[in-house]
Amino acid sequence: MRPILPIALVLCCAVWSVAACAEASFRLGVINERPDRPSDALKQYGPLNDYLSRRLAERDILVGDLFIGQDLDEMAAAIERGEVDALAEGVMPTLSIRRRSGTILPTLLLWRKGQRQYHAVFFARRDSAIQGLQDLRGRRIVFESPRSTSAYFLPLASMRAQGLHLTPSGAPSSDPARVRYLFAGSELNQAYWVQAGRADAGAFNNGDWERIPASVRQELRIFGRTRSVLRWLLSFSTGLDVRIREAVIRVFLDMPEEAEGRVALEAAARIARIERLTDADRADLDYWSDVLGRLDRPDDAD
Amino acid sequence: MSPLRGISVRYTLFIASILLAAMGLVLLLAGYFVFEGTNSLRADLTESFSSVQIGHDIDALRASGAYLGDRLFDPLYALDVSALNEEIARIESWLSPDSVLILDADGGVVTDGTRENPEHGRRYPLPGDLSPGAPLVETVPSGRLVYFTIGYGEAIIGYARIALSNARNRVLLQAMHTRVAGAWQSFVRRFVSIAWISVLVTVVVSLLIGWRLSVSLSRPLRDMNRVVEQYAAGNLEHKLPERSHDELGRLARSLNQMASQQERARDQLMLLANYDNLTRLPNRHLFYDRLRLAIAKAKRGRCQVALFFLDLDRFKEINDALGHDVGDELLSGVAARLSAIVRDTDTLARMGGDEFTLIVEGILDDRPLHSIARKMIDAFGPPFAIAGRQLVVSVSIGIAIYPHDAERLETLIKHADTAMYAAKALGPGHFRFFTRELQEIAHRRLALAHVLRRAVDRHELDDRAS
Repeated sequence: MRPILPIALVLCCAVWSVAACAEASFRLGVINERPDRPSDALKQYGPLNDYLSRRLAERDILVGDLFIGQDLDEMAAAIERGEVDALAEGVMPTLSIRRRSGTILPTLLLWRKGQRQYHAVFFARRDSAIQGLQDLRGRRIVFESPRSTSAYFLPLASMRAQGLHLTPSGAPSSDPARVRYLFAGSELNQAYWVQAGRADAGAFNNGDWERIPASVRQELRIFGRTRSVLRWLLSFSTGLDVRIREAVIRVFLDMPEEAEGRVALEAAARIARIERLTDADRADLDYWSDVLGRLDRPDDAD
Repeated sequence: MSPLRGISVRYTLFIASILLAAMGLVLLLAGYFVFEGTNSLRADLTESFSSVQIGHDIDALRASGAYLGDRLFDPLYALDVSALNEEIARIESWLSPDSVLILDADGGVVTDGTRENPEHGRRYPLPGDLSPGAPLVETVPSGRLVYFTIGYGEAIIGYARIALSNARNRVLLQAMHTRVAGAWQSFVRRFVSIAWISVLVTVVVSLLIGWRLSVSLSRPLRDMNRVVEQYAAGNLEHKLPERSHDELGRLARSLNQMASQQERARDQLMLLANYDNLTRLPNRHLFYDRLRLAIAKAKRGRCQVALFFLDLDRFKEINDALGHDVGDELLSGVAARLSAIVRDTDTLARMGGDEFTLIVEGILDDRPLHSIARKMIDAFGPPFAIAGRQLVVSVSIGIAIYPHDAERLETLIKHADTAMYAAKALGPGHFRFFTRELQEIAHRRLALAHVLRRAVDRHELDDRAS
C-alpha cells in the first residue's frame, strides 16, 4: 500500500501542471490614437479590459494586460506572434492588417459615437472656389492622420477613384495638378486649418462635421462625400481557441445590457451597441479591402 | 485615633494643598497665556496665509505665464487647436481659472479650450506694456487677469489671457478657515486633555511631595514617640537614630542622653537593691530571687538544688575587738576568696552580717557538695592580712538540698541554717548536711527554749538552779 500515496501525489501534480499550462488566456490589443501619450490608451481601454477580466474569469479565462500598439506595424507583428488575441479598430487598419497577414478575422461591429456606419465629407471654406473633387487639383487637402479611416483612407480612396493623384505637402513634384496633402493630427484641427487658410480643403467623418465649433462650421461648406463604411470593428486572431473566442464574443454582446459594461464601453470609444457582422457587412468589408489593395499600389502618377 | 488626626496626614494634606494651589496657579496662568496666544494666532495665521497665498499666486502666475508662453508656442504655431485645448484643460485643472483664452497676434480668440469654442474670432484688448517673458497680472474687481505672450524669443505669435476670480481665493480662505477651525477644535480637545492630565499629575505630585515632606518631619516625631513609650515602659535600651543636625536631631540626641542617664541610674539602683554594697555579692533580696528561680527550674528539670549556709566563726569577736572597718575588710576578703572557688553558674550571696549563702544548681548527688564545702573551709586556711594583722578565721557550713530536705524555699533556708548550727556545734571549720535528726533536735531545742522562757516568765525556776 505504501507506494500508492507518492504515486498519487505525482499524478496529481502532473495533472495540475498540465491544467496550469493549458489555462485559457485572452489579450486585447488597441492602437494608441496618441502615440505620444500611452496613458490615453490606458485611460480609454483600461476599464474595458478590467471588465473583460472579471467576466471572463467567471469562465476560467485569464485576461492579460492590455496590449497598446504604437502603430499598425507593431500591432500586426504582435498578432502574428500570438501576443494579441483580439483587436478593436476602425475598418481600414483592420483590413490593412488582414490583408498583410490574414491572421485576423473581423467579427463584431461596434457602434461608435452613435454611428453604425459613417462616411467622409469633403469641405472647404465657404468662399472657396472648390465645388467638387476635381477642383482639388493643384490644391492642398488636410487629413487627420495616416491611420484614420474616415479622415484619410476613405477620402483618399474616393480621390484616387476620381483619378486624382496625391503627393505629401512639401514633397518635390513636377506635376502642379497633384493634390498636396498634409496631416493636422485631429479632426478639429482639420476644420481650423481650412478655416484659417492653411489648407484648401479637408475631409473627415460626417459626424465630426456636426461636432466642429459653429463659428468655424459657418465659414465652411461641404462639397463632396464618400461611400459609407462600418464604424468600428472587433476582430479576433485566427489562432485564438474557438471556445475562448465565443466566450469573449458573448461577453461583448452582453456588455451593453449591463450598467458596468456600458460605462466601460463608453469610456473605451463611446461605444453604445455591439452586434455580429452580417453578410452584407462582410461584403462591404471585402469591397473596402479591394479599395485598400488598390491604394497599396503605387500612385502611377508619382 | 482617627487617621486624619495623625500629624503625617495633616502635614501631607497641608503641604499638598499649598503645592496644589501653587502649581495650579502656574498651570492656570500658563494655560491662559497659551490658550489666548493660540486663539489670537488663528486670525493672524489666516490673514498671513491669505497674504502669502495671494503673493505666492501672483508669483506662481508670473512664473507659469513665462513657462506657458514657451509651451504654447508649438501648438499655436501649428494651429493645433486640439493640443491647445489639452493645454488649456491642464491649465484649468492646475489653476482653476474662470477662463483661459488663446489669442492670435491680433488679439482674436483662437480657442477658449472648449470644442464648441464660442469665443472663436472675438477680439480682446491687450495691455500695451506686455512683452515676451514678462507676464502681467492685472487686478480687476472680479479677481485677476494674467496676460502673457506666446512666442519664441522676441517673436510673438499670440497671447494668452487667464481670468482668475477671487472665488478661488475665497475657497482657499474658506478651506483655510475650515482647517484652522478643525485644528483649533483639535487643539482645544488636546488642551483640555492636557489640562486634566496636568491637574491629575499636579494632585499626585503634590500628594507625593507633601507625603514625603510630612514623612521627613513626622517620622522622627513618631520614632521619638515610640521610644518615649518604651522608656515609659521601662525599656531604656532603645535609642533614637540621630540622622540630622537640626532641632529634631538635637532633640533625639537629648532624649538618648536622658535615656542613658536613666539607664545608668536604674543600673545603680538595681545594684543597690540587689547587691551587697560591701562585698558586691548578691544581697538577701537577690538571693531569694535566685533561689526561687533555681527551685522552679529544678522542679521543671527534676533535679536538685543545694543550699549552703555559711557563718564565720569568731567574727563577732574580731569585729568587736578590731573595729567595724577591719570587720568589713575581713568580710570583703572572705567574699573574694569564696568567689574564687565557686562556679560562675552558682550564686554566692551575703545574707547580712557574717552570713553567706551559696546556691548550687544541677546536682545529682551530694558528693560534689562535700568537695565544695571542703574547698570553702580550706579557703579560710591562710590568714587574712588586714590592717597589718594576720587574722585567722574559719567558717561553719550547713547544707540543705531541694527537694530532698525541703520543697519550699523558706523551709530549705531554715534547714540549711539548722545544718549550719549543727556544724558550728562540731567546732570551727566544719560542715554538715541537714538531716531529719537535726530537725528533731532543733524542734526539741525550740520546745525546751519555749518551756524555759515560759518558766522564766512565770518565775518558776529556782535561783539556785541558775
